Amino acid sequence: MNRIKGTIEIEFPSEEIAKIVYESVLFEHLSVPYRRSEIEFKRERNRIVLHFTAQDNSALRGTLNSYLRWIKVAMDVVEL
Amino acid sequence: MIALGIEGTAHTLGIGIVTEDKVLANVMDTLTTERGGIHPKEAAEHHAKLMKFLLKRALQEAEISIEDIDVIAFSQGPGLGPCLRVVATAARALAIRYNKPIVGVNHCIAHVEITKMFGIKDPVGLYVSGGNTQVLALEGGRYRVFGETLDIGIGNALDTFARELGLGFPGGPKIEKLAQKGEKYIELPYAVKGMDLSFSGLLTEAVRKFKSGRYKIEDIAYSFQETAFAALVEVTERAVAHTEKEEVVLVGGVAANNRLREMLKIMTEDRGVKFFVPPYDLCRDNGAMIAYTGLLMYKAGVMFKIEDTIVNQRFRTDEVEVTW
Repeated sequence: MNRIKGTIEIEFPSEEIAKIVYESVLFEHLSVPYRRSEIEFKRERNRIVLHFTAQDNSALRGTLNSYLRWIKVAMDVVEL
Repeated sequence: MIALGIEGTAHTLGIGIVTEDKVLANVMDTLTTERGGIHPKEAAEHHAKLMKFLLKRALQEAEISIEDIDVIAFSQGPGLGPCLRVVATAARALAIRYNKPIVGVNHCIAHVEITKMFGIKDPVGLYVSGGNTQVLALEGGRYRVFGETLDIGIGNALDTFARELGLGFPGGPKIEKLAQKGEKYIELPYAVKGMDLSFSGLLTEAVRKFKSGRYKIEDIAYSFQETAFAALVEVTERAVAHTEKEEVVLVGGVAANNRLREMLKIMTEDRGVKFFVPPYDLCRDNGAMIAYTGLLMYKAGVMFKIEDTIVNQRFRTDEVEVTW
């Protein structure tokens, strides 16, 4: 069966901000039961990297939207 | 001490900032749809989009900066998973970024706890909203649910009924207005099972009677309210009798209904117990109640590690040991 694979890298202004965002999202990453998609979620210095594999487009869209939403909300509140 | 609370269990995102005895800010925004109902991911998107804006507005209204906050509280559950996760992520980011302690709060407990800001000490709470309908009170160091709906929340029942009547959303206030013109009680299923409640049979039969064309819409609305609210009052009264508590509080979005207030007032006066309803913005889903409960918890020594902040969609009130 064909699987969709890819990588998203998000660069942050500093390593400190990347670390805050990563730690804020990490416990969602660890607690979400995804069945039709897999995500590897890691931080490399000032970047967050998402390696994803999904069975189909809708699984991919659902999973990625969740991660991007969490990353966005964490980024937003870092500077008030 | 100042606490900031983030509420986002369903379609309302709320940010509250409180001290021990004062609400400094309580801002909120509710995702509304034409026909009602909530799509969890759309609500989560709404919360993510508005988080920063509402946080800034709350801080402005309270005339403080984020540095002045002593503790960050957030609604940990129960609620819609995608919404809870956005709220928890934002709370974690704030706590880590500004080096503040973080506390996860049970949404249902917070609805009752906020009444303590107004001098209430140890009440029986009737918590009525779209998703929740519970009679709860503190017993043996935990909030016990003495009675609850076995199917849909009373708010959901009212909204669904209104939708079937073609009244639009939100339906509760429209049903209340119609019910005021009702003159004749039409018998509808009254379902109190033990200490629990059920509204789905009532809803089905009320809709069936409406569609039959044999009854006035005002009479059906009136009968629906009388039947549902009588059941709520009965279970609340029995909880008061059992616990021997001397205060009853009405909280949740449906607390806005004047007929429900009136019926509870009559019951509590008959029993000689105090009855209290907080201002509406503290009744509905709001950040101030989360902030206030978080503040009480933190002052009592409750501390969360970041790994304790995972959300709990089915967070029962009796999972929380009330040490405050």
